[in-house]
Amino acid sequence: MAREDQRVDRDRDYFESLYREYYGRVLLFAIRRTDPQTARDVAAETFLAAWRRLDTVPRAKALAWLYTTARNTINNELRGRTRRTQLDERLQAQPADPAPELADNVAQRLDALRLLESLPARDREALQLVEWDQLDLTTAAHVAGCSPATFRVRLHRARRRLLAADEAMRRPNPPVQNLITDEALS
Amino acid sequence: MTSRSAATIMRTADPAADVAVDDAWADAEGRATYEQIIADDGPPLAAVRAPRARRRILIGAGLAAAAGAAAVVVGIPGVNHNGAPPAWSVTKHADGSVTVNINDDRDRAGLQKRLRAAGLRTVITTAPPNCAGIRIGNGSGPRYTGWTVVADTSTFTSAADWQHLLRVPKQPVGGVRPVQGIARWSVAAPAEDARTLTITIVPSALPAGDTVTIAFPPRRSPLDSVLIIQAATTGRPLICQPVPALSGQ
Repeated sequence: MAREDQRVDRDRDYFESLYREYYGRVLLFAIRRTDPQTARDVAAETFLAAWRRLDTVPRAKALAWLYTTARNTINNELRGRTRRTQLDERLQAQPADPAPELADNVAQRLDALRLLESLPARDREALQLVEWDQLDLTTAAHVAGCSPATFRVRLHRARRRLLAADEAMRRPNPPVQNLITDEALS
Repeated sequence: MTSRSAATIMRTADPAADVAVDDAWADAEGRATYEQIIADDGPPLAAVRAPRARRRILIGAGLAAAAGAAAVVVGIPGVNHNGAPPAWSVTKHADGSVTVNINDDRDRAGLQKRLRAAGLRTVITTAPPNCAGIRIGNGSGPRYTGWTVVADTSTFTSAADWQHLLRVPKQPVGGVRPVQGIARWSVAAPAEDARTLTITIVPSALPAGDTVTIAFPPRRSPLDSVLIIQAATTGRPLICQPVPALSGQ
């Protein structure tokens, strides 16, 4: 009995250290990919999984394990949503009437999000893991479920595509007035 | 037009650019989540992965309820493999007290093991058919409607004594009734529509040599809506003299 109690105490101590150190990061990971309330649920489920499978959480790679679990949880969640897109939800999560001084920032963010959403899912994920979550290539590859070499190629391609989409979006539209002759307007 | 880098675009797009979560583990919801998780004693996760959507909703509801309450009160953590709430949960708090939520009578051995691990001398058992608790309410809605608390009158002589050992959501409805060497009273469930009985026990307040016994009612008993919790000398059988119904019941 005493030995069992000691094991329970050790498990709880380890889990609490994981929770203190990584709950915020896992929550942030989820906030970036879903709405705030779902993000809390995702964080809860991720740590519930860790608690139930504590012996399988690698101590040296705990954060990668948590991110991978959170990613899978989110993917399951998104697959279950058929009527609304992720971007729609993010748009709805924005304040209905942002303060004027914030409007420009909100518009810029939505434009950037639209660029990101225009990329293939794997490219988008590669950029998010490196640029948002600040993961190194090895950890990001682990979370994405591919080899570091594959991830490196994916990331390079994603950056090129993002920049190309950005340039296309910022390119001035063809001057419509040129299509209409002065005679037609007169 | 000047081109911008991928990093700049990503920073602009970052939905969490202004979100501070470093201390989220310690806020009300973060702590409630923690308490619920460590109280979980469910099956291996592989068994609870489906149905995904239902599980999330249930956990979310539990978190929302817990977040609105004091940190020491926990709700139902997760669900079991049938999609139903877990049979029970146990949470040990920083002050040494132990909160027990009971939803149904499955996995009693697990409950006993968890309570003992939390430092409480405990026996989980089933009350014999002639030893049902005092019925509270009509018992037709929730699975359990309350507790009947019994104890040796040698150590517990009044309801005040219980307040050191037990913290319950409601005041006793029957008062203390010394009957042949025991004190007895009943506690209603937290709400008429509640499905979970909750009680908080302070192990350090249990007299040396005493044990807390939690007795589930026999199944299909006409009085099966009440559990018995007994504090008595270790080894003493469940106290089960028949007791007349409380007035007004």
